[in-house]
Amino acid sequence: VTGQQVRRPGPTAGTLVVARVELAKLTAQRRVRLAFGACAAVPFLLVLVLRVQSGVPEDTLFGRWVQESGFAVPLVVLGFAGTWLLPLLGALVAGDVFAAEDRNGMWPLLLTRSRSRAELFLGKALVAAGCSVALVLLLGLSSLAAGLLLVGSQPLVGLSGQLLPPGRCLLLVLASWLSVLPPVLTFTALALLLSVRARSAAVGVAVPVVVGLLLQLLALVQGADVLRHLLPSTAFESWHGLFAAPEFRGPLLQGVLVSATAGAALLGAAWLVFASRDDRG
Amino acid sequence: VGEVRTAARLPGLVLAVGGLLASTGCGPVDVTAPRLEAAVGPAFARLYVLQTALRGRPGLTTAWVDPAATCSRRESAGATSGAGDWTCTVVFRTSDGVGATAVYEVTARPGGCYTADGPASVVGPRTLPTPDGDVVNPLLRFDGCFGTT
Repeated sequence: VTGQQVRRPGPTAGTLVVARVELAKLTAQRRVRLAFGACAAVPFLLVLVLRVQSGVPEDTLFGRWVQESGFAVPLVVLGFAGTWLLPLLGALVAGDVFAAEDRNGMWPLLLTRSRSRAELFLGKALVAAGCSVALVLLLGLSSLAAGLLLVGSQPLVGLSGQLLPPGRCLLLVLASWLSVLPPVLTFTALALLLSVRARSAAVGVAVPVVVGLLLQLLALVQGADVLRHLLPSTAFESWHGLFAAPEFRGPLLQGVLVSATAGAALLGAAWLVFASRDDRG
Repeated sequence: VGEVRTAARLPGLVLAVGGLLASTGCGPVDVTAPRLEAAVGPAFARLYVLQTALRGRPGLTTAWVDPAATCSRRESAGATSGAGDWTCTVVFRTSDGVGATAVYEVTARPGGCYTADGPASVVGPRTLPTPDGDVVNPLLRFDGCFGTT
């Protein structure tokens, strides 16, 4: 009507347009804001509670050291988060990002608009992955900050009895939190598949958490050592090797390979289901 | 169409999980006596050096402590490896140059991490008094991990 020519952006630009719209929708969601707030605040509350009651979470690796070195705090949180929190953070946004359009009945509109299916899929997947990474890194940095501010930057006893100087601890803590990103993204891919397929946010968010717990149980089966190496959930613990002397990095490499393979397969399956859905009839 | 695809993937998934489960019970075991001994011995020595320093006598070396750990499964019908309850006996040299033995009850978890509980009579109580206040006795109970790949 304005006489201006409407130019259709290229595929990359199209994906980014979708991603920007998704991001705007997410930041308006109370659930997502709450998750980011919790990731930032809970580590501080945890350390404050520990300081007040002068207790230590003995059953977790580094738990004995939370009152002695601030670097133990992010490691205790990481060890604890591996059981179910990391799968939850990976699935929180991804499990809803497709299902939300079902809930709001938006698909007939979306699929007939100028953005292609590939652009829609990529844009949504990109935002889901970005949110997973952001949530995990926020929790990690907040735990590290809570430890350093409320306990201090004392040296930490490693997993071979060696005393690690503060600078080394800092590097290893950051590397450890980065090392859980590949398996977190595998759970994000699983949540995307469920979100596309089940069209329900409850399934998309809850099932990856349950799957994470089941994989942990499976890893406890006596004699299942070969199987355990092939589970994405095992990659949540691959950072242990960084704190040993001599360092061992085999599990890190294995974790990245397993997570990437499983993640690619799940993402591919999600795309196939999404590409073949028909909402116009 | 989506349902057909999902249904087509199901047998493959079942086969894969079945195959993986069938592979359990054979293949390499992660927790073995040599691995545990190679982890517990040096960790004990380093922590003994640390403890001696906390008690006001720095300068001890792990070579001086010269640890040797022997580990075996506890209360497990015939099992010689695998996660569970172990006993590790560490023979070492004290800071006074006397030979000593510390028997640790070790809980080894699948994946290669362990918790070792020591005898307070040999390694001291839960906390140690230092000029800066009480600190955790690093030797009474310690955690460690070893490589399994």
